[in-house]
Amino acid sequence: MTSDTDDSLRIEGVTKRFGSFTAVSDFSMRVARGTVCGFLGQNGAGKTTTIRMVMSILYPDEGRITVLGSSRAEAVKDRLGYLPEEKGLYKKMRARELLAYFGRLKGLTRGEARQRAKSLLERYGLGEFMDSRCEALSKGMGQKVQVLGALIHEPELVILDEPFSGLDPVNVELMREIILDMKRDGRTVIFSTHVMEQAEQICDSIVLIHKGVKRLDGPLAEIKTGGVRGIRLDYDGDGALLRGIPGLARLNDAGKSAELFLEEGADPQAALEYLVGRVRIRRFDLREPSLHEIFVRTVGAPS
Amino acid sequence: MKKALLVALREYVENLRTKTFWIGIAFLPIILILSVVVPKLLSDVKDVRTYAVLDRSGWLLDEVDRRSAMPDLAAVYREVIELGPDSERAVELFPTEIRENVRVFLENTREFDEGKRDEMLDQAMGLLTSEKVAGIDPSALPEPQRKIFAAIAEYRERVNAWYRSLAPEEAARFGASLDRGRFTRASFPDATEEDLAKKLAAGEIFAYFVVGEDVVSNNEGSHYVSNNRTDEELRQWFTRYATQAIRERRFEERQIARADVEYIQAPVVFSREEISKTGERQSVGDQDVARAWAPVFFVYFLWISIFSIAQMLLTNTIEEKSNRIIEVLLSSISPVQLMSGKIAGIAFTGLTIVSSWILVMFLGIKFVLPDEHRCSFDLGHQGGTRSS
Repeated sequence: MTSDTDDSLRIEGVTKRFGSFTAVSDFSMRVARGTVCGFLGQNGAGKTTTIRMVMSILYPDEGRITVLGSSRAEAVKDRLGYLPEEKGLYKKMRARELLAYFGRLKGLTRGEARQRAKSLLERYGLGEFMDSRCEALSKGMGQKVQVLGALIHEPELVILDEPFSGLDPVNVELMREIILDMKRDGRTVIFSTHVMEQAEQICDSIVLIHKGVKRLDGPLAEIKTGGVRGIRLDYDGDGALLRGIPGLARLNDAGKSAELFLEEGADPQAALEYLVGRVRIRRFDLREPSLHEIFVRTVGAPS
Repeated sequence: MKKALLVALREYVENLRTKTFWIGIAFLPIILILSVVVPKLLSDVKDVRTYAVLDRSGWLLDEVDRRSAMPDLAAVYREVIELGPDSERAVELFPTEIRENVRVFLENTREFDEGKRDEMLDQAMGLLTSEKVAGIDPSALPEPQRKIFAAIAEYRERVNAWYRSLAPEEAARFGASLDRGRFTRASFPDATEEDLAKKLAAGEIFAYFVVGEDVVSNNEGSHYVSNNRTDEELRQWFTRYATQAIRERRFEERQIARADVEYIQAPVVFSREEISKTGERQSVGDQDVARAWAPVFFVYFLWISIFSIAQMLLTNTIEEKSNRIIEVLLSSISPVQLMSGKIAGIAFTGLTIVSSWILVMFLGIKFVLPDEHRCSFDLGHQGGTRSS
């Protein structure tokens, strides 16, 4: 159990309503300092509303939020970094100028802000676009600039709302690198995402919210250990044949790979024997369930 | 406060980079150019309009010539006075036989203010162009005015002769606004109306007037003939002076004394006064009125500028709201700081636009309007005057 001083963020019994609609209901979570926390949930689950309350853009109707030890996020704004879900920039501003502006709003001096903007852009491969107007940048480059804008003042807590959305694989990799760099620097990172693979690879802990209510919360390793073990199968052949596996309870088939869950008491060896000769097996691995499986099991099949 | 200033500075710099800002800056100068300079340029490029008059009344043409000379001569004399240090050089533009008259005028009007000088000029020009200047007895005038009037009486014939013989291109050296430079009368002593019609058809003249025999009693036989349907300036100009002369004849015909006419026509004048803070009545001058209007004009300019930049404010706010930059900003500053910064930035932009307009108006008044409304001497052509 972590103490208050070890927490970067502590949310206790928070509720937020919009008219008669309750977006977040009696929600609580803790994020320890220096960790990466994945904030998971379907569209409309209440992730962005929660994040906006943490950033003091919205205010809770009930409950208490403590950010970096302060009950008022306004008091610690200069120690927070924030990337909103919908990414946008001032189109006419130049990349370096924009980063320096965000830095100055976070309390940096003019010289510091310009210097840090330059070194960040160079470090993350945007050095040659330093003096380009934001409207001339590609979507990926623009998103990188905005992420760097959230980091320029070297915040203690960084909150990223859907940082991977709309990025190509190269930029997804870069974004992951940025988050891991922040973790290595001892910062706390909270990010919301739909991409379970990313969360699985990066997060120390996860919080799953569904319809405004917390459904899952804890260290990723513990959550996965506590889940039903499954079979990871990489294969070539007709995926329809997988449905005939004896004792099959659930199948997540992605075409070339699949995750199989057997009924209690069913023998994985029998499953392997069934598959031999029907499909070409490249991998057959009995393991903990994926985060994707945990997510789907927890929130149920999408309607 | 510091963060609000940062927002204001960014807004200001961003607004300076927009087309809307520069269109706003250029708006007033463009309107000024269109309303002042273009008509002047169009007027300058107009040809001198040569006209002829077939005067069957036997007297109206002389009256029109005399009366139309008055404003031109008054403008020329006024300009000589107002040139100040260059006055002596301007005098050299006049033919030698009337220079002395101009000098007397110059020397004896310096001590008067502008209002009094204009009044003296009006009287003097009346005397210069006519012997019949009612209501003025030169012998009853104080010393400086008496000297002027005596000199004018002495030089009347020479000044009139000089003016009447002044060619349009020579008149232009005294300023583009002189009527003499715009309208010139061609003299065809024995020409019939048919002859004038042929000259008009041949393009020798721009127009001709026929004055009826009994022009005082009726308009029968009086007409204006021109093939230009749009340029009305000459007709209106001639009509103005002809009407003045005819009215005077009608007064005489009915034996209405000039004094009576002036008495009847004199408008009621309510002098402008106000009550001071100490409770006393005091007169209100034109400068006081201008001072009172100044804030109104400033507010008007500010109003226009606010409207012209409201579009910028709207665009910026929509942009920030739609692409969620506003969320990033609100994660750094409070909503009050954000809005006060934006409003200050927009206000600075508006003030910049208004200041530029005021500067343009000042420069326009200083460098453009004097050329437009006053006759300006071409002092580079000294010594080229013609003796008549």
